[in-house]
Amino acid sequence: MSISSFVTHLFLPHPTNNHRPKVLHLDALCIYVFLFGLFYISSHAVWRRMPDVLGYATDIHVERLLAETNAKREAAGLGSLQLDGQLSEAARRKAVDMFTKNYWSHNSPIGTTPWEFISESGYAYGVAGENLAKNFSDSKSVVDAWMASPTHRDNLMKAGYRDIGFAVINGILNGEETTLVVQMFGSRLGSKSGQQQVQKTTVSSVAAATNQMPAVKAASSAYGNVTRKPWLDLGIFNRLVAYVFIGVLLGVFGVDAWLIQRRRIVRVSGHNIAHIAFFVAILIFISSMQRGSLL
Amino acid sequence: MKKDWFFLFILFIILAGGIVTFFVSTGNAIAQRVTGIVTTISYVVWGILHHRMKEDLHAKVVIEYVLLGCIALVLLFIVIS
Repeated sequence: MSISSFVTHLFLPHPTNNHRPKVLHLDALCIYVFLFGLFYISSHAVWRRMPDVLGYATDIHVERLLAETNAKREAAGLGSLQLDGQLSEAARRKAVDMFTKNYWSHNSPIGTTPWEFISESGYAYGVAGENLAKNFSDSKSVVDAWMASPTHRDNLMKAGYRDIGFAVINGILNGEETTLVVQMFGSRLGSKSGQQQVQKTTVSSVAAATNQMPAVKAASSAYGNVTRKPWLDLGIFNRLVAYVFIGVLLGVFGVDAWLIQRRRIVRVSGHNIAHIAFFVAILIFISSMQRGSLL
Repeated sequence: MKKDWFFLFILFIILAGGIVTFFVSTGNAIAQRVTGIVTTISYVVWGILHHRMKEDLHAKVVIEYVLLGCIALVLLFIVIS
């Protein structure tokens, strides 16, 4: 079989492949599911054991988070927030507590609320709030995601806040390397806004505690920055694999639909236009997808 | 032929609904996974119903939709993980 007839056999409807490109046959589809499943399991196994080789690139800095947050507030006509050492300490304690007790929630498994961390840090609040984020790749995407979520946006854009604190810490949560961002807002009791009725604002929380052993390992010297550059960025690599595969699949479906229509071939198979529409939707999902989560 | 376009229109509504829900769920990986799963299941069900209405439903066609759905889900989970 020559190369051109082999390529035709693989990618074009032809009598040798029963008028259906070989790459779209059911056995080929089974192989794709198996190979992608294997890729998913093996890449995660390597990531968990050697995150510096195969992992997710992260570049989050408190300065950028503060600048992005204040830029959003100023654009809405609100005052800038001042970085407060005590709120940052409360945020750091909260993040360390989440790694130590292995939970992803506003309240700890033993019921510790964010307000207790704030009070313990010495910040006497009149109004306070907390936003959480994990596994985002950079500072801007964290703030953009908070702004896209109505509850987090309300917290971020609240006029009553004067101060803000951040902690960005890398560690192991639920057995996976995780970068946590804790953002705490407040106004001191006795300040103009703090004289209002004591108000505590968090967004809805979901407890996600497990019994796995905790492990905290700060990836930066302070708790204000996390920068990780693995040898191979799994986030980019995964997207690339998905884009290339779906691109080829769409091309084969498109050519197949055109040739089948043109040659008036009748066969038993799925609807190519529907397959194309479905995989275009999947492509949109993948391109708009962020790895990070909010709470 | 008109019936075909009607069914495709239904599919586009399903996929558009999935895309909108996916965007609304930004920052919530669990909600995005659920949206991906629901959209994929809807697509497979749509395919089966569509071919049944066209009276050309065959086991091979069902398996094709299921396998394509599985491929889409595995790709989504690879990227979202």
